[in-house]
Amino acid sequence: MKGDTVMAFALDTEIEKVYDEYADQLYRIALSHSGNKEDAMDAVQDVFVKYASINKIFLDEEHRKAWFIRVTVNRCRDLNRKGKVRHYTPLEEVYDVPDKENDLPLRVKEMLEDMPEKFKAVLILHYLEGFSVEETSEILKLSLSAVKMRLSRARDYVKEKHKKEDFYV
Amino acid sequence: MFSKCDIEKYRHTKAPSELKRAVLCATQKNPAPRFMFNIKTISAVAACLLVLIVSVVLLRTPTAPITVTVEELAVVNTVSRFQKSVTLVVESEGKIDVKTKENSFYVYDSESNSFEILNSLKNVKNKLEIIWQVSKDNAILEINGQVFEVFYDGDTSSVQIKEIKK
Repeated sequence: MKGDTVMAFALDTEIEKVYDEYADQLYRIALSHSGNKEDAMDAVQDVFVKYASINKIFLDEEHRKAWFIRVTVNRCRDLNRKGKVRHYTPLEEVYDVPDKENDLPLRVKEMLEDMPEKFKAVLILHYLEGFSVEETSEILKLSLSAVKMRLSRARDYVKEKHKKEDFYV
Repeated sequence: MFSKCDIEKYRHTKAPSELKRAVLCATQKNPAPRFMFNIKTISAVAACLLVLIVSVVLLRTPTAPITVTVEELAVVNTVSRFQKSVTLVVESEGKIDVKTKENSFYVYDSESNSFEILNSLKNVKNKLEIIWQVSKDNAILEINGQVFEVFYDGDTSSVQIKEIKK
């Protein structure tokens, strides 16, 4: 992964800079996992609190970015396992939900709904966030073959669920 | 899987503004100093240090104590052009470095089975035999950084060697 030569001491303002750089992406990933805005915000806040409280050395910006994404994914999984994800209104009962700035496109929500966690993470990072298979494997610390297999199964899952044969991507 | 339109909309999704306030408030009490090191910088510094250490080790002059003894009439019988020569036996616990500008010092070269003029030799292990063609002029020989004067002492009719300062 590329990296610029940077050596920095974190002051209070560093958190704000880091937040501005990563928050939108982390929020999207958390929202894709949890399915609702409030849980996504909780997860992202927990991640930044963890970042602020540990004294981890990052090799470069890419290393730090990968850390943030991985911790966000793991945090969402933890919240799901602990049953802290709030029950939300099934999509069938919602009509004409506008695409807000802080919410996912409806079709993306539908695709991700009820998808097993391990498929979700690779699918979100690869298809939605645009990471390559190699980058996805580095971020999630999975082997390349594991990522490829999960992507394949995620596609099969979507196909099966929505009974679609055409791929747009 | 996802249309380009969906992906574009997805990537335009932004974190709510209230999240920033919450995060900054929650993290305000726990700032931690943090360092970021580029792996290339670390590797470059480590490589420079390694080169420096190796250079110092390789280039340093051996400092083990040395002894020089004079043996008269050593192998000179096989060297017909020498009228009178002595063998200087240099012994050390460590390696031996010698150098000289004189033309009167020789070492035996086993490959050519002959004696070659000594200019410099490095990292000779423990023992070295040098032939000195005795002359009226004193000769200077540097061994492991120490400078020696080799000369014929007419009073004692013997070859002497003494250490002198540079």
